[in-house]
Amino acid sequence: MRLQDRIALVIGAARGIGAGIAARFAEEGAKVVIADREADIGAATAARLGGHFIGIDVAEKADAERAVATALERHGRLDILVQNAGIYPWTLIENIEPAEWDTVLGVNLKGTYLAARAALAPMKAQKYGRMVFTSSITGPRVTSPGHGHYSASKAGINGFIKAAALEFAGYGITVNGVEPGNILTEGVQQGRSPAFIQSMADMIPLGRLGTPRDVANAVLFLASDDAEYITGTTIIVDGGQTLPEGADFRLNPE
Amino acid sequence: MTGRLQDRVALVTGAARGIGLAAARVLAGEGARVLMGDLDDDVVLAASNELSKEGLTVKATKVDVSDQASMTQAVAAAVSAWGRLDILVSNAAITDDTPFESISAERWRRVMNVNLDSVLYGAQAAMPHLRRSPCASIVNIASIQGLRGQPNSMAYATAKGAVVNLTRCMAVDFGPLGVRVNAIAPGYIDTRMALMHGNVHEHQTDWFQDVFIKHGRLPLRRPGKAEDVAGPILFLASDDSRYVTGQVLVVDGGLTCTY
Repeated sequence: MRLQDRIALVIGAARGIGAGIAARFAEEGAKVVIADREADIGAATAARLGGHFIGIDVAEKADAERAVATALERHGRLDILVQNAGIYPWTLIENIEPAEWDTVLGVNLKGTYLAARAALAPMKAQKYGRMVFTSSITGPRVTSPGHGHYSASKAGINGFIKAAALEFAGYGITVNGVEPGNILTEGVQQGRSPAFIQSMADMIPLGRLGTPRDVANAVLFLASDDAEYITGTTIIVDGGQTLPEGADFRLNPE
Repeated sequence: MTGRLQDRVALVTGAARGIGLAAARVLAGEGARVLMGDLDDDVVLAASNELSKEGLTVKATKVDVSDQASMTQAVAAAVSAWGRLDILVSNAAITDDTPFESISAERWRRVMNVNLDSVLYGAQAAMPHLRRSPCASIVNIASIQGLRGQPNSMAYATAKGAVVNLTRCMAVDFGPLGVRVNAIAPGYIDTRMALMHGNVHEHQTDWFQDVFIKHGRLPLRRPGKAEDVAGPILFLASDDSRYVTGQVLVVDGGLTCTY
């Protein structure tokens, strides 16, 4: 068991990628505390994993602190912080009102800083910590119309990862991230036709969309002892999607 | 206990010492059968005997990675020993710090030959076997020098930078064939290859200790160990990275985060 008895707080883990991360951690022996806005689903996910649930809005300082406090109260320490909560409304820049901009940046980017800041004190005291943040290929690598605020927030997370890695390195804390590509979450499956999903898969060298578990495995690695000398970086988990200039690699006769 | 690489077969080049040896130990520790290749055949044989005593399934072979025929023979040796090949770790390399004015055509070709051509030769020899594996992975050891400009490193850093982009191109071509290709970019790692200044190891010089350790230019405040790179090699070789391809994993203690 690669995370035996480690205490992990996973924010944004009611469903999708976050739930996959929490489940993978639990499989490897970690005790997980799940934080999410969605109380019913979050509580069910936590119950399924033998973990604890706390309802929070990560964009609120007091809530981020309450999530960390809950982990400490229940388990006495906090080894791993994952901030995965993110929102991705589709809006062209000409229509993004300041309130929507603030909401997206608030959850995705401010939430990441608030979670990191809240978890810093206990990790500093322990002289040990692993922080892993969910970024995205959308923003740091590529983008598409309608994702102006989302792209800015995720590129911002990558910058924050480097800054936090530098500031926290002296305390035995590493800070890294994952950049998922197109992941077949419940949301994607519900919203799109099988033909459209196949057209997405055809653009990806590995020929399929990713799964929450694919991302969770990379997060697990970064949270594990195997990644002790890695800090301030991200792992792209996209099946190679952002490598080719176009889909003509499929013309390979083999 | 079943390892994460149970029954898979791996070829690791440059496995006599340092990162290659640490990688062979970790891969074999997870149940893989590992052929350890190196130009220094006596040293790699002794290393493999040591790992065998630890109960690991390994063999040793002499390989000159700069020679396509030799690389092909090494792949054939792994397949003839264990009937398959699932993992190729292209690690063997030479260092070079020749200043620009002194780089001869021969030296330039030699660095490209050992550090870059070897990655192509390895993949060419291995692909017929890897594409039959349900869990095939190539891991190329590049360097953070391949991501940055570095003084007195034109040949080495250019070869490593080319390994980075060769990794991306291979990933695109081999992805539809079910073979993943990734690279690792190590930073300062305590191995024999770290440059020597006089008789002092680079990481022991006053300058390195002052700038990188005391003043924290190296954020984690220690050079890496070969084992620090072996864990990431295991990640990229295993199913834990089954949706990761064409990537360069930086293992540098945070060095490239800063100026």
